[in-house]
Amino acid sequence: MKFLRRFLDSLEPHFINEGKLKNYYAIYEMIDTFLYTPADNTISGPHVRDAIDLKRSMVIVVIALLPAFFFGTYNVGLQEALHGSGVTFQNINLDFLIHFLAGLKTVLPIYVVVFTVGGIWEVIFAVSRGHEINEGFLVTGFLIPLVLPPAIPLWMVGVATTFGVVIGKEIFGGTGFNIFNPALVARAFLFFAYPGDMSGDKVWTVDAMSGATPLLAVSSQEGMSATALLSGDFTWVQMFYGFIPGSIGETSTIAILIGAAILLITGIGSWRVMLATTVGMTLTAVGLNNFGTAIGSTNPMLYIPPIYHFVMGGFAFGMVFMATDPVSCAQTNRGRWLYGLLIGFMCVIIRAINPAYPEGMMLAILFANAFSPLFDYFVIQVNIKKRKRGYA
Amino acid sequence: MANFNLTKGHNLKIAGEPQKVISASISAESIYLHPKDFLGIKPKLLVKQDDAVSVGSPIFFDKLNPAVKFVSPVNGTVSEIQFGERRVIEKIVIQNNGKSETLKVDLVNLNKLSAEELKSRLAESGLWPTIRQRPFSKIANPIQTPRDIFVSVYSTAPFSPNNAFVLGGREEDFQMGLDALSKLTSGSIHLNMDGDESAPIFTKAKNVLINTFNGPHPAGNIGVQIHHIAPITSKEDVVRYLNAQSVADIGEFLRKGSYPTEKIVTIGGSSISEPTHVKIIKGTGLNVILDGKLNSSNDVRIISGDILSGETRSLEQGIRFYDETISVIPESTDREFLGWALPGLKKYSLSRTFLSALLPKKSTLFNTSMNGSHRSIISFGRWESVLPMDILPEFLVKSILARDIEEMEKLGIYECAEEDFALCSFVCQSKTDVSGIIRAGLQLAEQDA
Repeated sequence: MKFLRRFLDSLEPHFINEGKLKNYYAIYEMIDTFLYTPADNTISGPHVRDAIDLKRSMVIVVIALLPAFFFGTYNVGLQEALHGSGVTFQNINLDFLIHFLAGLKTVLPIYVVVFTVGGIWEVIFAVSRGHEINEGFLVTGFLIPLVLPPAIPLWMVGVATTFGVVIGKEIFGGTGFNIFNPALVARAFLFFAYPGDMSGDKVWTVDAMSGATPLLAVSSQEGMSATALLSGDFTWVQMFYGFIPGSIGETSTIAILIGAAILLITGIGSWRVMLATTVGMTLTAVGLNNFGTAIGSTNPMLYIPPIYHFVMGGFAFGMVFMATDPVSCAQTNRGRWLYGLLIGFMCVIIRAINPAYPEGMMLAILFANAFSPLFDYFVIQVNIKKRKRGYA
Repeated sequence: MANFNLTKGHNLKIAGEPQKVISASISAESIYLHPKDFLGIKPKLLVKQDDAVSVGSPIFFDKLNPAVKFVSPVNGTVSEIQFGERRVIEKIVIQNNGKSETLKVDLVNLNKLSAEELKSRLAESGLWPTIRQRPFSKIANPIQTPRDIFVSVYSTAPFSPNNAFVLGGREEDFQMGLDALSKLTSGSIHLNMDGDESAPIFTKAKNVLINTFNGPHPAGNIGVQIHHIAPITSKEDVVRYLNAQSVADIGEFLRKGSYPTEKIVTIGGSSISEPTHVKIIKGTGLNVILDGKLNSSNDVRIISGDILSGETRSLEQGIRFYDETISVIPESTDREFLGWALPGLKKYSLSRTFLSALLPKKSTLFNTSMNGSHRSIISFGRWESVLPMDILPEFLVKSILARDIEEMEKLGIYECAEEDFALCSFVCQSKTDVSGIIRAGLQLAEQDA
């Protein structure tokens, strides 16, 4: 290992001061600080620092995403087997390794495209703007494939990643300055640019056999009870475990909750946002359940109970990994409550009221991202007013 | 009497806690004065090289407040005046001849002194600079009358001296100092102490309002205490504050008529062989204070002040005027392979991102490593978690970076001092220099007329 350190040290002079490669310092810094903890020492007080850095914070998020990644990849393999062979769920072999490896054939290329395309953009911007290559992309890059349908063409993945990284983040100045979650921007881009490939019942499995998601199944019928519609292939337990079609990482609520536990225990994910989102969703769903009964509506989406909302579609995944993005969420603790409540509310409203699009979580979070500076503004005004009163 | 329970903050567990023992007084052959220790003054020398001075002789004064003198704590000759860039005075060296000739003033009963007379005595004596003001943490302007005066005897900063211990035997001086201070304001003298304080010198102090504080650092910081007792509302809302030892110094001066030359400081940190309290002559060089006390003289950082808000000093300098702590810790030189991926059983972190979060916090051998690289501000809510004030640190910092003075004022910049934000810098995963930004903001606000 000494050899590697000496090798890096021998390269450093080329990248600093008047070295020939000084414009590419960001690349050197990335590799150097990836391999070794940075050499930076404190200059002024505080002379000692907490051991945490942004790398550690982001690595924790990636670790939290691993259960969803492993289960999601396995589920892609499983869904392909289910729809390719015609066997029913009850009779299929649930062996993890077989389906995981099968799923990897679909998922791995998506990851390769995301990290290659996104990495190139990161380097281009870091070098041309003269800033560091930020660890934030590690998380964005890990998230993007997990919110895509498995059957997505790879060229679309590349275009979406470009849009997410460049328009979602870099034009604002890079990580820390963006107002929307870049991974969601990538997904929203695909949703609006190529709607036929992003929703409907043809996109969830690779061989384009019918594979409607639970949300689609409910929204496509009128005049029936939501839970009855879901009772066949989509029982609550099945949706909780995640043996259902859907975006790669979003199907298994339990895998997502393991990730949530990691984020909450380490303090990396905001418990306020997660709790407020759940509360907002529950209140809105219960309200709509009652509203539906009151007006005698035949729209089954109005009758989905909160615990079904929780396990269906991208709700859990969005709440745990997207809404808690520390950059695009509200920056004040009180603002985070309002922000979370709005996400939960909007998600259910879009799911139940919007006839065209049964999945509401992505748009709900983007909507709340846009509102988070406003929430912060209110919190700041309250703080300012309180200070003025205290002074008087 | 008011009691304040603060929950936010953190007491760092650092190896090298000073023993509650005062090792023998240290005599200095020469002492150093650093005009840079005083924020915002324009020093003008009153002596030349080779001038003879005695204890209490004025050495320089502040051109902005000509009455305020800075005096010599020893008898001897001015041996060197060192200038830096643009003829800024870096340090004044005074050779100590060990004699005890002292400038004395006539003793007058404090009750018979008017506030103006007391002010001019303190200004002449060299003790006025120990009285500082907020906002801006600079020497009190003698022309202004402060709303209140605050004295904190609750030390929460790492390695800071225990005031009841340090002031043992100076009870009379301390009370006399408080009595004198009460002449300087029409408001109150707030004496702020630990909720568990039992020393009668503090709990039985007269002519003061006693406030008690419970909680981790920075609950002992004067700025945090003022914020909770009676916040500073504007640039013109001036309050004053001083260290406990300075209060006793004022009392001693009024009782004896001469400048008190000694103070007790702590030396702590893992690079100190026997962390302890020492009694020094004010201005003693660090080379003398630390002689024979360093584990290794290579690769250590010598800090005047505490480890969070102190300033790096060399052995050829003295301790900062207001500091009562010297901290010495190892400089970091090692680089860990794939450090971000290690379980981190020995890492000290207030986050729970290392396995060490599962173990009780132990005294840690801190070094000067940044433990990461500088990144954009990303709010995980860490700053707020260690700031026991109703201030929105992130928006204050952003308004400073945007140089928006009006917004800074609204967000409470005048209540702030960089030391109160030192823990915010400590916990920041993006390694933001929060304290430095706060100082810059105060400078901006001060210059804005």
